[in-house]
Amino acid sequence: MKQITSFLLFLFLGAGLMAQQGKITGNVTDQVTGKAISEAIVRVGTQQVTSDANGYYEIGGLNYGEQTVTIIAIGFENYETTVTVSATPVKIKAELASKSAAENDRKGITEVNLADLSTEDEGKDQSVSGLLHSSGDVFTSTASYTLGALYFKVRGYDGENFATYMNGINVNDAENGRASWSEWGGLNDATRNKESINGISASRFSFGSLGGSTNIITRASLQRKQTKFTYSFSNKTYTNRAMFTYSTGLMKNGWAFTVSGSRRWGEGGYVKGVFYDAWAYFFSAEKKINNQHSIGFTAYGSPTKRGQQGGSTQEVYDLTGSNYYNPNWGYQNGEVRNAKVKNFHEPMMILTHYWDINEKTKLTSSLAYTFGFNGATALNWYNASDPRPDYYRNLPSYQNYITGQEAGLTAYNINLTTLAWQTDPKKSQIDWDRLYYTNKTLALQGKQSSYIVEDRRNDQQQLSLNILLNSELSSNVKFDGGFEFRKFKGHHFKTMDDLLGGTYWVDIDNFAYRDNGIDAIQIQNDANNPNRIIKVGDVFGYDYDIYSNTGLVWGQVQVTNDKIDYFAAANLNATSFWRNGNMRNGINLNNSFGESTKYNFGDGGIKAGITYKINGRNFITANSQASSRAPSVYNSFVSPRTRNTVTADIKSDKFWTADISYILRTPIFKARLTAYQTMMWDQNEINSFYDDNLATFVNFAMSGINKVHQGIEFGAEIKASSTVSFTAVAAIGSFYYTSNPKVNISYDNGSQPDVTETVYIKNFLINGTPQTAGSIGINYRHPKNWFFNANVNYFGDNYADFNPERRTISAMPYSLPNDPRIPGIINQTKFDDGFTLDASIGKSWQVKKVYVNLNLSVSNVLDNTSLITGGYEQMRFDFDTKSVSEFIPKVYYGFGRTFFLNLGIRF
Amino acid sequence: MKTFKLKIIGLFILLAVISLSSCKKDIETPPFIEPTFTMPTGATLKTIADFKAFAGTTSKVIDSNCYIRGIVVATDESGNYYKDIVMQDTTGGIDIKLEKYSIYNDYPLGQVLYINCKGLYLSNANGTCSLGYKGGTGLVTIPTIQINAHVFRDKFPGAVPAPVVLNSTTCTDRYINTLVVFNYVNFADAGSVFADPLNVLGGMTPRNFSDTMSTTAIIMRSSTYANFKNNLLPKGNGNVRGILTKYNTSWQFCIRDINDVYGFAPDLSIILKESFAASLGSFTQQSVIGDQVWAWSSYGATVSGYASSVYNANEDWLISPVLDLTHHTNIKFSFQSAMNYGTAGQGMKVYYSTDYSGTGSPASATWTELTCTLSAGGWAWTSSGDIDLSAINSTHAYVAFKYVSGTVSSDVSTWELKNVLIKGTHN
Repeated sequence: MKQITSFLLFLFLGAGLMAQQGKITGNVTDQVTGKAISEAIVRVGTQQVTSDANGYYEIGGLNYGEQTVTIIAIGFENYETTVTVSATPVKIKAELASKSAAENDRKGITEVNLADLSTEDEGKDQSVSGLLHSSGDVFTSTASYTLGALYFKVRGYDGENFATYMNGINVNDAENGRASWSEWGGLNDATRNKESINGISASRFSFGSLGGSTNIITRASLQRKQTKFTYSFSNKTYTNRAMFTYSTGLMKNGWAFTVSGSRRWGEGGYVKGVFYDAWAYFFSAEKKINNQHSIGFTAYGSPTKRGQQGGSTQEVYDLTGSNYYNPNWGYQNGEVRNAKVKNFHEPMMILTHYWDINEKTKLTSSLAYTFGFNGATALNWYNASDPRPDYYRNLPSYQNYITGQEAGLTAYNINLTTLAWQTDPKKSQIDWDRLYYTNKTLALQGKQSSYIVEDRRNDQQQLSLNILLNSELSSNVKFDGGFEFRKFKGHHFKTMDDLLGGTYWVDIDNFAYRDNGIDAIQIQNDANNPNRIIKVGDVFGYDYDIYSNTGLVWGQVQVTNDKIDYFAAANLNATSFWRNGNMRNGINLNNSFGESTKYNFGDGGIKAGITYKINGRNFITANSQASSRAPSVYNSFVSPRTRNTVTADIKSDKFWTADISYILRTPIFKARLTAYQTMMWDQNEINSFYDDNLATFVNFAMSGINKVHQGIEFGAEIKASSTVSFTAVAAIGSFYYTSNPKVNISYDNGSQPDVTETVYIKNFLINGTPQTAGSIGINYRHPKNWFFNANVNYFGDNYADFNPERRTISAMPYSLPNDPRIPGIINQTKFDDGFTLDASIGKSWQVKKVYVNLNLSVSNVLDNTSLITGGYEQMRFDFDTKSVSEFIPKVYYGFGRTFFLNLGIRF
Repeated sequence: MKTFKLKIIGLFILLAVISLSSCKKDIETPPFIEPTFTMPTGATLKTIADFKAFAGTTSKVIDSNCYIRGIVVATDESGNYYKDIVMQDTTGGIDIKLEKYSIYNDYPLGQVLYINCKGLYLSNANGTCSLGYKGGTGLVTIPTIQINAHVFRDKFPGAVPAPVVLNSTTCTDRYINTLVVFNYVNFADAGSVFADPLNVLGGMTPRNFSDTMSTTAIIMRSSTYANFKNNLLPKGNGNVRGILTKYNTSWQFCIRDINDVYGFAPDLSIILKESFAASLGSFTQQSVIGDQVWAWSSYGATVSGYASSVYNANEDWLISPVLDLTHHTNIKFSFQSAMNYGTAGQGMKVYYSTDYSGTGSPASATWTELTCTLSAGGWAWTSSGDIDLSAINSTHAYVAFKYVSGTVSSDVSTWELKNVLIKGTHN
């Protein structure tokens, strides 16, 4: 309350610059508890100090006139005020609000809003968690929390362009480059402390990444001393969440501890068949040995089982009357069973040494090890009809493609099929009972199971070392630099999860091309162990390891002056990766067992930025970076399940980016307007999908992809009064391809020869994100600690992931060049634009020493259930008829009205 | 102390909540219940023979409330059948067309099925009886959505009926779409693949096989989608088991999977085998002179110029079916002979020809005599020894036995022949 009055007081004071110098002092305290906050960063112009154990700070040598004071403390909202420095020292009493319940709450929403969607393309699950960066910037926080739920990606960048660190350790997946935030899911309290960098701005903990970087700080001494119990109730992907966190803070004996645990469970209820069964634990300890040395240790993990949602086609949604139809489940013995269950537990341990060499220089060294398992189950079948209910041949529309039927009969059968879909769950969902009956009858005849559930595993081990040096070379020059090393092994294999009533399975590929008859060696998944009998728990199908070693050094110099700040940074990067096959694939006898060639890449990048301070309220910043990056392992091996082959002409990709921003900061109006352009060259992309017609994985390996990402970002926040503020955010992007890449199409079972074609996608728009998005919000914060906020969000220009094969010459009809079918084959699928309204309300109380907050968020208040947030064209294409209506795109709808109720008790 | 208590309380609340929410339980395995089917009252059970009698060459609707019951004898498991299965009862067999893939999972071999035929269509097009649905032209598959209303399982799958042993001369319509076996057959294209995409008729590659009983080959048809399509047709003679079909007047045949082709021995490839155990078999007799002819008796093929106490002059030939000797090397011809009343070394000669027309008098053809051991008299069964025919190498070869008698007792012998065998190594 008081600081708001002081805002108003200083609002109208001038900003005259005088040559004399003055001083600011103050105390930083927790708004709720009134306790002192130590180690808070206080920044005035180019100067920066930290608060002491009593929360006290002092900054001298300031020019007279208006100055903006910014206070940043971990776990709290940034505090900003403008004061006039004069001969009399200015005293500021800064009461910091803890990271608001609202924001915390929104994080919860984001977590549960993003249903774990399974896609046709293995390894390309829908996830935007890499965007969950928090920062004081209104654009970034809105883009992350509010628009993130609509699958908005900042600047259209994929997850591999956002680096995530855990105490300095890079936790982006070594194979696909993306961070998986679910590995610490349910540990929201313990992982709350973060430092985030937007885009390519200067970062003190890493060289950074194209889209931005986040470092989650698990250090126990920086965790707020508290005991906290949280219970949440929702109807999204889980029903209940219970979290417990206890932190001692830095105790007098030099120790600090944090323990946290959580459980998330229930069916959520919004999408049938989805469930959550997750635990999480976190332990962090730190010992301050002396004023120079501290040792910290953190271990955490999040053993999780969750049933996934799958996308389907509009035909199916219309048929079932729900845009949230989930094809992944069915009744087994009267109970709901989901075929696609993610099951993972990847514990992480980090040992960190903090060394304050002197007042100006710090050296932080971390050693981390992560291991565990990560599996995803799926139905598999051989020589049996596709058990998925929404398989295209099970749909009414397929009747139109059965030749020879009388017209009247087709209509009759469409009606019958429609009726069955609407009345018989054995038809509209997986009929587990039938699968069991079939397998058991086969077992009576001594035959193998026709249907199974397999667990596709990716068990990773990684040893990481990170050394970080932060030094103040002089009062206005800072140097940061570091060394990162990662040694990674990813073990990929399948295990038999459930024989579904059968007794065994044989490890052959029934559909492998057999040029020497039925017993040809080609059918062997492991020619070293032919015709192996598989029981539950056995490894089968494929089994290979990916090894990847990376080393990186970087350095950065930041110079701050009265008018101009600038920085420059560079990195050098060495990458080596290879595949090691543990099975000799029958089709690739000489190219699958043992180690592949080692692929080595040397890369580097430079970046620089400048900030011009027009005055204390107006800034212009510009940044630019040019880098080359080793291709991701995931996008290099064309068919890692079966062979060592990498994509043709494998090389590092390159990008160049630049942005320029105008920033306005006044106590009542803050805004940022940014224009950016990024060009990417020589990217690879591999999509694999299961072709039921050929009964095999088909791999589309595209190489030579060039892209442009450019656009404008705008974010503004207006404090209309001491209680009401407004926010407005807009992102207008233009992301498109600038080359016609080559695609190599290969078939895991060798049933078709590999082909290489050109994909004509120049000027195609990049999918997977709305290219245009915006949000307008109102926040009301009542002095009696209750709040309300509402956001209206808009998103548009969102496209479906496209099928490259449809943009090749071979997909074109042979007839005239102006064949009317051509536009339908090559045009991109665009989704409709949409609006949503989100609102939340909450209140905090203090009952003696216990702080309670309760809040309720409602997403999509207007219950708009016709918002497509993403989707993909099916990879199957009917080359005979050239018709695109047989395999229509699969789409995902954003949830309708859902709620998230959160109760927190802290003492 | 108070906060400490609160912490403890918080912990307890947490633990209580967590323990209430036990882990997701495993779902029970569904019970395995044997299906049983009872026909509804008012329905009649027809035999497949009834159906075949009713079927016409164009598809005909079945509008009476009737069922047929049969045992599945062929499925699509190997891919040789596609969207159909074959079932038989004790009167015959029928092909059932279903709009379904991998049908064998639902209707495996040995499964007893009841088919509710009302509303289905029956066709006997080209000689083979099929049950399906009415299409624009001809019969189409029973639509997926209607299958469960027409096809019912009864009991768990049991034994498949034993195949009926047939040879090329004993095929009859009664065996169409039933499980049969042919013994001692050989493939004309031995060494080629079962199914060749460049050689297809209606999606199937025809491969001829023949047995020793007839020169008329049976056409085995295999799908280019069968999992054995790239297996090679075995050399030599052996057995083939499968489903008999008919296309107009020609007999056709489909195996279910590769195990239906068995017992082939390439080193003992039989080109011709005639025991004369029941008739003159594939041999024909030609009388050039005299009333007496080669005839069958319980001893084998028999001839004598002595009739009704009279010695008659005769020239009688017993000629083999046409032989294709180009697929074999090391061809050996053998038989057994027994003679009485005549003079050793007289009355019987053995020849081959490559220009005999196949019918009519042998006189117009060129015959080359073959040297062999013949019975010396006293009804002594004598083996001929292996007569080498390797050099003949003709697609149009015949072997023949020529009997000659005069009008005096010493010139009239009686001969018996049996166990004619021509074998070779298939190349």
